[in-house]
Amino acid sequence: MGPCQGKLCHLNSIRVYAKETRMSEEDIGTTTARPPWTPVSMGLLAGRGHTPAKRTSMHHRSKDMGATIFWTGVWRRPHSYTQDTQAEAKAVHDSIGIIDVSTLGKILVKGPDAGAFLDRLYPNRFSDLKTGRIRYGILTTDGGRIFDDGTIARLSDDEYYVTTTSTGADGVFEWFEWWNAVWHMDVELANVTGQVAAVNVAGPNARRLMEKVCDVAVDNESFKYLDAKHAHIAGAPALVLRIGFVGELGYEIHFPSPFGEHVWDALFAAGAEWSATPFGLEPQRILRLEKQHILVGQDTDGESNPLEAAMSWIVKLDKDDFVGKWSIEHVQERGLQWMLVGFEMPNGRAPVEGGQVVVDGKSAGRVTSVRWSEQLQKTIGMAVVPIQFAEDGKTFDVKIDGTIEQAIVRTRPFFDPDGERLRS
Amino acid sequence: VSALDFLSTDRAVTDGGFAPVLKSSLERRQREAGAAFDERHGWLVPVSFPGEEAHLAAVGLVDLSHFGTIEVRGATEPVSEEGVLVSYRVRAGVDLVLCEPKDTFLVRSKLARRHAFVLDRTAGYATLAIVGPHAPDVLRRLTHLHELPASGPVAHVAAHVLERDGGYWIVFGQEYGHYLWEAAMDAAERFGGGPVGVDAIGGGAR
Repeated sequence: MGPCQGKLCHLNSIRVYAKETRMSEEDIGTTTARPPWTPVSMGLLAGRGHTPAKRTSMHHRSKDMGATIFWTGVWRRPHSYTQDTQAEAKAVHDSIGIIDVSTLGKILVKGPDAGAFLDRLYPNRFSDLKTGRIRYGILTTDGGRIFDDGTIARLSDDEYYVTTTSTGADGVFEWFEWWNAVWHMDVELANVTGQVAAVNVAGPNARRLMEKVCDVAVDNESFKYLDAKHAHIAGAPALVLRIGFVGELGYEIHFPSPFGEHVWDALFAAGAEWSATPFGLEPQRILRLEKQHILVGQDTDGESNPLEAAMSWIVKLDKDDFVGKWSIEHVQERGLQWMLVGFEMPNGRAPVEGGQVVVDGKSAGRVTSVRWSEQLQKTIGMAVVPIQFAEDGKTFDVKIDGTIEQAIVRTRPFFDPDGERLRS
Repeated sequence: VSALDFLSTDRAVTDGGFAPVLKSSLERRQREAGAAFDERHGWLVPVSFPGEEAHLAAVGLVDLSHFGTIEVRGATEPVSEEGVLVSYRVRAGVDLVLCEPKDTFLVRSKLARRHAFVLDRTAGYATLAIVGPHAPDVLRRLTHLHELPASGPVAHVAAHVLERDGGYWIVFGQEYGHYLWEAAMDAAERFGGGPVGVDAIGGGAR
């Protein structure tokens, strides 16, 4: 019996059977199973069709600034603000870039068991995270496959603020609720994705801008990398996370969505003297690739596990248990066969994303991400390669328009490999 | 002060020369429709629209997103409190209450004294009121829900539909505001309806 439990195939089966046996459908009869019909009012069918779309509270400001909007899941998001996406990325490296990241999933986890609950869900630990600090986390399925990632900030003894990928928000929330129902832990969950807007202010001048709009100290001593602090941004209540997906000094500001335009306007007014520039999703993709920060679903697929996605450091197998632990242990026991690595193309040519990694003339892996980096003046990317190639400086072949080209493995971030700019 | 205070729209300050203004997710569409706005309790509120008297005689759409929306969990009985306009039991142990914007902080504080989990959801929900004689017709064009109050799809997005003063309040994720406004306007215009400011219905809490 399939997912429809016979409701769709039952009538067809009767007709096929009647035809084959030359019996009448009436003689065969039917069960009392009802088709999955739900009454729909005529009023609902009438009228112009509308496509449900989510928009952030800064959507219209972005359009006013010339953004090209495109679909990312059910969200409408700025792809870029100009034709020159490299210039938008360069603005982040040189001064200040501002991006609307309101689409990130945001989940509150509250209760005496909140830390223990997250410890069971993620391969790493959160019960020992200090209040006011942030830690990166990936989520794995029962099969030990990566299905989402994000940051977790501890707000108090029993309150955590979890971010997820934009497209994974609803799925992760359901995942949390499901496990909470299974484990019966003393935890309350709330999905505040739409309620909270978020903006990332990034670049070497980001701190100067923040000093003008933030009512708490933002110097490197008072507000360290991976700190989470409550503040007011241009008067709006906010949770500020010092994290850096795009590889530069950065502050991710989370605040109630209806303040979106006010905060957006205030940030650009304050940043005008440093030519603060809006940047879209495409420049963000260039910047994150320069840091080899993965995009779940782009650099991972349904078979990716943390060990072979170069994230063994995040897996704490000494924990009693977590979702996917058994499967990850199995990967460790069988030995690593693949690895997600960075690569650069010496001749500057760019393989397509999804293109083949070739060994001895046969497909042996895939390219997951590729971009030209104006900052680095080279074509960079990430690829899943056989484990024997996963060493810095080794070469592997990729196929570009039917011809074989050589790629050089880079296992460390292409840009600021020691994270000095992030921590500056 | 709770670690979750930053979620509440009424925690803004005007220090440093800043004047934070809250805007509903329907604001841009309303501005295009000629709305006149007034700042009330920190929100930019659409108080009137051209042609709203005629709309009100057919069916009017009123943005009440500035109303306080508070989620309460763990209550054994439906939540009641002074200042609460509407209390809706979403499911056992989960209640949603709406109140006038001026009362949001007070209602939230009172509820927090009696219940372990109280979350200010004002910033997360938009509320669209459908008022006037053709309100039932518009609602039927947007949803199959008819035993009210109820939760389910309204123009294909998750929403709560409440009855209020002979009309309906649709409470939905604010990120769908632009979209749902278009869908509701499309349905209302067929009956000669359109946008109506909050002052035309007595500030929204009539």
